[in-house]
Amino acid sequence: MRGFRASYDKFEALNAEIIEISCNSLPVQKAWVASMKEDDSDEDGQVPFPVASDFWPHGEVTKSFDVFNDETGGARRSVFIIDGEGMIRWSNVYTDSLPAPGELLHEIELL
Amino acid sequence: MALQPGTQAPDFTLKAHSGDITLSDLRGKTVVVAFHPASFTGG
Repeated sequence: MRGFRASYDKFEALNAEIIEISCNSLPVQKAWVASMKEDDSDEDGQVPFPVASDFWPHGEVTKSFDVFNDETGGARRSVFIIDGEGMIRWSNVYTDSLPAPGELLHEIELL
Repeated sequence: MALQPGTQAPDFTLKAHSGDITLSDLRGKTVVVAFHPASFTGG
């Protein structure tokens, strides 16, 4: 999230949008965004892309992408790159942290 | 198994901190969809 935010202008330059999704409720997502503002006082505190809630029906979108974790009730950490026609062009599931923004920017450049 | 490249992405509309977001409204743009296990967990 923080990495995406810091690199957002580079995604914009490639005509790319970012959507972050978790199965948390919307108030939790809003609190998370607010916590970013408190942590990064040197920035204007805005998260420039949507931080979305897939809370109800619980995990419906997450399930449609086949990344719902039945054991935890949340999403598997994963990234999909979708082209301008709505086609998935790249996807990956991660056990630890998300990839560096530069890796995703590189994949977008290759489309 | 996560949806693989070459698959049409399922359209969705979700509530986001900035308002509703619909994937198909972004046609013409590349979209990076990042799923997180939970907020406040970094990454």
